[in-house]
Amino acid sequence: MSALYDILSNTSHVHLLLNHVPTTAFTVALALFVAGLALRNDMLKRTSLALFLIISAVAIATYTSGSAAEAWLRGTNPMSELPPNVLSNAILEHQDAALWATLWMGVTGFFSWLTLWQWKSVRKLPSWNMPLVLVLAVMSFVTMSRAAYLGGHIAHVEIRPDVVKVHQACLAVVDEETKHPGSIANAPANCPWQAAVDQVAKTTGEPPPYQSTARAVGDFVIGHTWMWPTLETLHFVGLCLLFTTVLIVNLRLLGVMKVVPYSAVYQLLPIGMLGFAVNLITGMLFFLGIPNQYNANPVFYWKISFVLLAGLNTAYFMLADDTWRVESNVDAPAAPKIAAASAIFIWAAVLYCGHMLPFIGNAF
Amino acid sequence: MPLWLTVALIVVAGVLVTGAAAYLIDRSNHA
Repeated sequence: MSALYDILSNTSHVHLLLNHVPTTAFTVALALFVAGLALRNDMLKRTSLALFLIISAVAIATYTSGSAAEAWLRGTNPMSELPPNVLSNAILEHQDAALWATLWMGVTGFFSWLTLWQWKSVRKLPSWNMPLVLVLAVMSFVTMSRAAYLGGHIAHVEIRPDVVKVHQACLAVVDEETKHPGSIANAPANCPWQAAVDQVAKTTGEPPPYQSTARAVGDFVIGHTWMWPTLETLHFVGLCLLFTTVLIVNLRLLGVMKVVPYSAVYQLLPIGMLGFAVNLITGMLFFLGIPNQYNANPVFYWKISFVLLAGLNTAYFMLADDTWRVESNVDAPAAPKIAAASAIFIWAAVLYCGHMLPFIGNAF
Repeated sequence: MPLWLTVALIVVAGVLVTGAAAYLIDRSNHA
């Protein structure tokens, strides 16, 4: 239990834990999807689409925890120094790659959800659907792999190409000296990695500061007076679209307005999902604007945790077929009722945590 | 442009884009 507490209270550790999901789990989901397409197996296709949806929700948590991991590494003092093996530019380059990857994964998640939704609501899926999801998933895979590759360079000096080159040159000198003692003057006895890191830093000199796209977007958000109130208003519009849909769809399952068949309220779901898309975009812009407002804010962690639960809840409704059979004047079975009550609770919790960011947490 | 008008115009534009997306998805469902 204490190990679990140590992991969850260390934002760097949370990021190291989560970052395997958009890479490793997504590779498995992509393989399942390609197999489903090749074998024309609907079950495989639907499973992989639901996995794309869940993994895209985890990607949001992975991105935000990455920013928190950087804050953890730097500390709160603006003059604080990073550990000697960590390059500031490597963090920024990784962050930009991760921002693009998260964007691609978000779009993949949206269209995967749309495909799952159409599965039940149209007789035949549009012809563009599956090829589009395949292209988006491949783009997500490529961009996320690049983010992961660059992320590795932050703390693992042994995989940075420039450092490896210097290290191997040193090893060759040591090897030559071992074979022919006295052949090389001032040959080192061994080759510590830190010496290679220092050598690279010395030969390249002070690297030019990396122009971060994430920071440029953030500066735009906080540099224009109209941005924050506009984003805030749109965030509330998105919230209304989302929560209204959540209430109507789930209250029907709990027995309200029973005259309406479930398939009728199901038609409203894209409005809720578009509301979520609006809130994800505006929410990410808030985050990019003032990341430190959220990095060390426990209420923000709770909010993102509830968003992850909401992703699982949505995946259940997309895959469970017993809900679909709830006709006019028919009671829903127990499982969808529990899922419906959970959905209302989860989304109310997301709302609550969002509103309490400045009050319980330390935002603003 | 005054702040209230800038915010109002962009919010309306955002709502229109979202509405158009909702309309297109709904229409594709009836095809």
